[in-house]
Amino acid sequence: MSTDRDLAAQPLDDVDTTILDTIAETFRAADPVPAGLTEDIKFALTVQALHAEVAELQRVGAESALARSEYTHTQTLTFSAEALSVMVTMSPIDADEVRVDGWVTGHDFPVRVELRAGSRTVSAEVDEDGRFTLDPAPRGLVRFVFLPEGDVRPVITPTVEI
Amino acid sequence: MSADGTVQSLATRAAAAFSAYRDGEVRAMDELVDLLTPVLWHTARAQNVPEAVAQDAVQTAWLRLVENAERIKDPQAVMGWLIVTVRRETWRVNKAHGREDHDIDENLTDAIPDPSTLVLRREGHRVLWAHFQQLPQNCQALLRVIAFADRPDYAAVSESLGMPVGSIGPTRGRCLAKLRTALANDPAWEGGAL
Repeated sequence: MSTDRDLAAQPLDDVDTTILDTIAETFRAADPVPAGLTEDIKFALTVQALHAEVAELQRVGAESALARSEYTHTQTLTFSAEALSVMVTMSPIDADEVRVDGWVTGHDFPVRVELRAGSRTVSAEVDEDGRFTLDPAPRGLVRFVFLPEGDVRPVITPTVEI
Repeated sequence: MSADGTVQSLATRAAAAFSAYRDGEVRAMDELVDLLTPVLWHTARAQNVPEAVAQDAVQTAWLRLVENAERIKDPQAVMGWLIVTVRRETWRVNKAHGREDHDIDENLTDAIPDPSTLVLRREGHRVLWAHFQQLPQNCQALLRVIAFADRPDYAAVSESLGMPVGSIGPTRGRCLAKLRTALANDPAWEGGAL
């Protein structure tokens, strides 16, 4: 394989450039960036421009990791951020929807919660005990956004599958 | 295109937009998203994950960038930072979704480009694609991502992907050398005409 090694140490030439351009052209046609992705990103960044904090996913309920494709198990996720911590429990309704029960702790200000699933948004007020319910909420890849009243950073979670 | 050419490399254009954003020009972030999302998309998809996982990983990496904007000392490094972050997020998201084996098989079908959609009009392109697909998986991933950056960025991108070319200057590296050798040994390649 000394030929490979010699070739590897040489500088890039025009043929390499043409090869790489052709590889790019092929992938651009075969696997394009999905329509709307850059707009989704800009939107998420706008949310973040409100100085939202990205919460850390702390814990995934043990039962959910094994039973993801079944509709009969509840699933519990825990997120933590500087401003607040959240535990959410998803109870299956059917293949498309779940009931979400949440409990926000560590805050002393009113909070509104939004669940964003693609173009669909479901929202609720968090009550004075920190509880909220989203029922029904769409299944799929979602983010939770917590919008506190007053001078506190909103919190956005990483995308999770529910 | 050379490093001192009139056309700036992707990493350099990204650095300029990132610097402008940090100086308070909010719209510069949109420009950065437009510039780098293609290379990040292919970084994620080169890990053989479904589209939904790749989309999520790329989006989360952008959120992390804004969170950590002040920690990136050298704006020139922003592209590499995002590539590293997308790789990590792709792995994390794929893992977090806890996909079972049958799910993986089902969902992976959309990670493999459909040959019928390929734009392989010329014979040279078809020969190149055939040999590309014979390369080890990590080489295919490297060349796929490199292809969406500019040539002066080759070394930095290779390093971001955990496959440093190990020398100064844009040398060819192991993966491109493998591909060149395979092509040179194929009579159908006809001396590199594309």
